[in-house]
Amino acid sequence: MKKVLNPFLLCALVLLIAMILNIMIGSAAIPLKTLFEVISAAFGGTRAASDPNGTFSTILFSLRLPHMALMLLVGAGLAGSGAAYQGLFRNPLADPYLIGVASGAGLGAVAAMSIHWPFTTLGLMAIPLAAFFGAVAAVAVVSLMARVGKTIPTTSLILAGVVVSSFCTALSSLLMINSSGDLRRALVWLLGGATQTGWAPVLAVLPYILIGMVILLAVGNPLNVMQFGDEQASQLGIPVTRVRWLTIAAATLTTAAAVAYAGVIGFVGLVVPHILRLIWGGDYRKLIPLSFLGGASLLLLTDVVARSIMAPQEVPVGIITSLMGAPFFLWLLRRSRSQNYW
Amino acid sequence: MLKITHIKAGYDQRLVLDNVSLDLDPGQLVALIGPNGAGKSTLIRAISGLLPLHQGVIEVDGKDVHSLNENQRAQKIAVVPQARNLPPAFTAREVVALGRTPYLNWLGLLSDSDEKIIDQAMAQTDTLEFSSRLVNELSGGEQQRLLLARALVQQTPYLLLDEPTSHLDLQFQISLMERVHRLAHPTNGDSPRAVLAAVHDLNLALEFADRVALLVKGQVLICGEPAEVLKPEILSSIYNVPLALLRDPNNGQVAILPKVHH
Amino acid sequence: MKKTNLVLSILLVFAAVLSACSPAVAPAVTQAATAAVTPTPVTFTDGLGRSVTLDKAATRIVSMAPSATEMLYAIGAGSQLVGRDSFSDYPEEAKSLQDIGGSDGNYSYEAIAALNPDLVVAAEINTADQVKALENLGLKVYYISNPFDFTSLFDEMNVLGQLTGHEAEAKTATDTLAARVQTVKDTISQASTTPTVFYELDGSDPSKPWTVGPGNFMDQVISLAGGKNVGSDLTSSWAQISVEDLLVKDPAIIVLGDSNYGMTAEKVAARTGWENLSAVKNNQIFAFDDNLISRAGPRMVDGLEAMAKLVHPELFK
Repeated sequence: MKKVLNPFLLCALVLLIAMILNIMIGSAAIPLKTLFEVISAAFGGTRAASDPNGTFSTILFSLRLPHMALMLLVGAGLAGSGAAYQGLFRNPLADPYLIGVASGAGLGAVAAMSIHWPFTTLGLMAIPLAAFFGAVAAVAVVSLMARVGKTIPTTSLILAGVVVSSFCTALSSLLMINSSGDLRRALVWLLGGATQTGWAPVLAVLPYILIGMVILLAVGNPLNVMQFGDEQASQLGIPVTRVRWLTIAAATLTTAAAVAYAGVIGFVGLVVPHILRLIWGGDYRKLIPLSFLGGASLLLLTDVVARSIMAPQEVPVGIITSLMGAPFFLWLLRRSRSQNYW
Repeated sequence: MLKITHIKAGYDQRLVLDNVSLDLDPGQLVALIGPNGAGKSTLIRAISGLLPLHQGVIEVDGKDVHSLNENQRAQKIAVVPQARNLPPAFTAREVVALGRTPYLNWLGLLSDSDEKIIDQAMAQTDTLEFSSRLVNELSGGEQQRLLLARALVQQTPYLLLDEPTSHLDLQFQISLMERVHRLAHPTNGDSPRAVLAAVHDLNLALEFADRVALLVKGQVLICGEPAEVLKPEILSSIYNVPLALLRDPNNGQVAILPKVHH
Repeated sequence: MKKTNLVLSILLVFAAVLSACSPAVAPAVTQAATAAVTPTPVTFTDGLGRSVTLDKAATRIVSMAPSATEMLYAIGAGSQLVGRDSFSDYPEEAKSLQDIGGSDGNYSYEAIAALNPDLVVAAEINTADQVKALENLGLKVYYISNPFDFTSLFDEMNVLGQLTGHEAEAKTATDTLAARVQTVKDTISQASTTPTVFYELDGSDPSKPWTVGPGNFMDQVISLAGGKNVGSDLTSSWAQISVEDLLVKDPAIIVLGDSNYGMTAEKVAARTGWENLSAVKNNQIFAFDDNLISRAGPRMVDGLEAMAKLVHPELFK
């Protein structure tokens, strides 16, 4: 009747296709047959005949595979956080950057970029670390500003978020103008896209995004209940303030890690929960895990476009998500006006 | 037993409940009446643990309500609020299912027994027929019954209702009060609950309650059997309108009505 | 079914977009180019403090920056180049090399890996992340810090000479360039004046145009050309100068580094308030190929000569 296809199976299938496409397509043309040969050779510890210099192997295992893993985690984290925030703030325009993560990360990154770090492991971690801390600090400031007694009302959070975001953006702009040579570099970072390659960024974000995702799964039912207001939610057994803090903490950790290593990628956190909500409804127990799958798929697919549409130029993926997100969202808006999905 | 002892509570600086004491025992339907602003909703909020108490204590089965966490409280006390501004995107069944929250695992998934409990509660409240309809398509009465079903699946010994009949048609007011009375006096072998219902309509209180508590300006003026409390002498000055007690000669049913002069 | 249709149509849209994307680089088959072989391994410390060792001269080189490209061609290593960044457009031959990205600030590591280089030359426009990414691919990277004067420029060119098996040619090239620099210096030493020069990098906002600050190579070139950089008391290497400041300092000549982007003398003369500048009144506004002085490579010498002729035309009759 209504649920002909299991949504999880369908989304998992889409994700699998997206993962395969992401590995298959890139600047270097690797025929599918060669791809299989390289992968099976790797299992045997040998080198494939069609890959004498090991070039394909390098491209596959040092570039594409880790990049795919990173985009998968980042996409899942962003969409899951977006879904949770839409539930938390009961606002369809909520995205993971609502309370200052992006602007805080941007400020941290731009500030770190104005310093010349030594070419060491720590030095290479400096900018992502600064971005991460900037993001977390911004949200912390927002949360403290928005506190009313023991609770954090959502309207205060949004307002405080606006204040802190404007401040961070202004400060970033000031730093960018003053650091002349790094202006372009900062802009590229802010447009979204992973600047580091290999497995290091994947390992760096993995703990935060995984933990964040687990917590976000647990706030699914509480978010459902909280749609009825704080009072009724409390009477139904939900520790409302604690759920708010947990959701914000989980979403912030996830998004901060994502932004630190993948830059500011917009629209994924906003559009994915929406599309899924239109198809399968707003039950957060389902919406959040489906958003993980959907967000990963969307980012993997837009990443393929970003890397191939103007090859060998690699367009920052944040540009592609915005370009694809805007008309999509417009279409969704028109379609949903008749339906009451909120 | 739910024991409210000399509580004072309010919002910010304003004291709404001033030295209220009340006992609720299973097997009793207590009607809470009083003029607007007397503190009926506030008292219900206080019992459900939402309000910090300036003074006094509320104990449920021997434990201070504020020593329990939200989950534990929700397994003891369920509240049926007024059916207003319900989020539109829920189906009827989904609304009722939310009442199982205190018993669900961390992923919030319903088990088969949860589903059975929901079926039962919806059958009890005659809401099964619109299970899959969206809440905003339902009438006020249907929504109110849903909220009752939601409270029922919480399976709590104590049930509080905050003016559940205020915007219902007469027939639904009666049927709701009948249901609520049956919860305190079950005929099907279920354990009797303690029910506190804030009502506006004095005659509903007269007809269905085991005891009536009259709340005026944050204080329980009197609490006792309906006939003792619902007397024109007491109520006329409180409601500022002359009242009379009328008896139907045919069946002895009593009603309290305002005296209207022409 | 409606819901499945939605999902399917979304997938179809993606499929359509993806089919429009085509890969750019077919990986190269390795072939050794002919080059003179340096007999012993060479080791250098590059601009990031990294130790770079080559066992033999590099035969397949990828350049990540236009300045590096120009240096490599100048020392005779052009035929060993197999790939270059998007901005490398000089000399003409460079344009036919494989493009490896960089115009968006992002390079295609796949394209670079597919070329199988044995040396990648990076410059200061490249970030530490980019160098690390190349290392992750198992590639040898040599990073050139921006030279701050002609001496350090020539030193870098000589290092590149050793890395690419063109030691002798590099020496010849740098000696010739050094001689030209000396000639300019000698000529300029006869100058009796030091005109103030305003070098405009970006005039999109006429009230606060961007110019060269103190302490960098471009500022030096202006000094060596016998001029005084109007931005020499600004606080950073590239900074905005207010038009009021400009009116007070009243430079003798205006050099348009943004003429490559369409700026002309007429447009400058038409700017409000600018008509009061001596340089405008005396028609001393000149177009200038910014690539000659913003790329820290061998053409800095061309830039020096061009600048000197603008600042002291009387000495170069």
